[in-house]
Amino acid sequence: MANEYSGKNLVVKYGGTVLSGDFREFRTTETADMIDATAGADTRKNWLGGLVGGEASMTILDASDGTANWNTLVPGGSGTLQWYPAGTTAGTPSYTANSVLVSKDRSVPYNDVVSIDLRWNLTTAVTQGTA
Amino acid sequence: MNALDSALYSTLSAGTALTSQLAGTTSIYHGVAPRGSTLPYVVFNQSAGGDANDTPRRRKDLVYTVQAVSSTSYKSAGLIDAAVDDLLHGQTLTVSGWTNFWTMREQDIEYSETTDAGQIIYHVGGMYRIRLVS
Repeated sequence: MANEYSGKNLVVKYGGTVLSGDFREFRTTETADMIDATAGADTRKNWLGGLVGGEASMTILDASDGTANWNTLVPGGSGTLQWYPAGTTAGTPSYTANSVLVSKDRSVPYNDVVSIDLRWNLTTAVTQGTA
Repeated sequence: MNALDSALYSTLSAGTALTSQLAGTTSIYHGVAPRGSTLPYVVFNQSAGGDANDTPRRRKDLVYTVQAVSSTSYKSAGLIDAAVDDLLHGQTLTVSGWTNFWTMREQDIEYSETTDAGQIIYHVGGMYRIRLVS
């Protein structure tokens, strides 16, 4: 049986600050631009891979007893984004990339907890290692 | 949940506008009133809920039923219920080991029953959603 795991042990650091204490979801996406190389007598679409990029997003809960996370997170600022999907037990996978914080979005609903949505663009390739 | 049960009892029993309408200042019971308890009184119990499990931090999302029980009339029970509502709806409870960030009434309850002796007992109350974070 494969070692499936849930996200409950996730650790995410941005610029060395742990953001995962009250997280709800973390997501990373790596994509490549597609170049349409269809021509001549082709009978099907033909594609070439272009530039590769990546994004990350996260939802965390805000805290009324401090503004540390909110103040630390500056859109346009850059920092190292590190994530450990299975936690930081030795031997578990880790991922690192440089990133720019694109946005921070705070939602304040009347009848639910206040949450913050974060979005980064990755500016380097994702390096895989172990915790 | 013992800590919340204790907090609810403390909050309700400290409300003089409530207790002045009850048979006594301690006529507030968890779960069920002892047999022979003098009316009117208040009974509260957990009806639903548990852990939210939506972040690593522990969070409770619970529903409690709090109802006034009176042998006089619906109006009398309703006045007691209104005093309970003043103490709970939108208020912040002091719960040992937890922070209460949401206490809101969601459902109203109203029904009556007739005892074997023919006495009509009136129940009026509400269901309150109570959210706690550790």
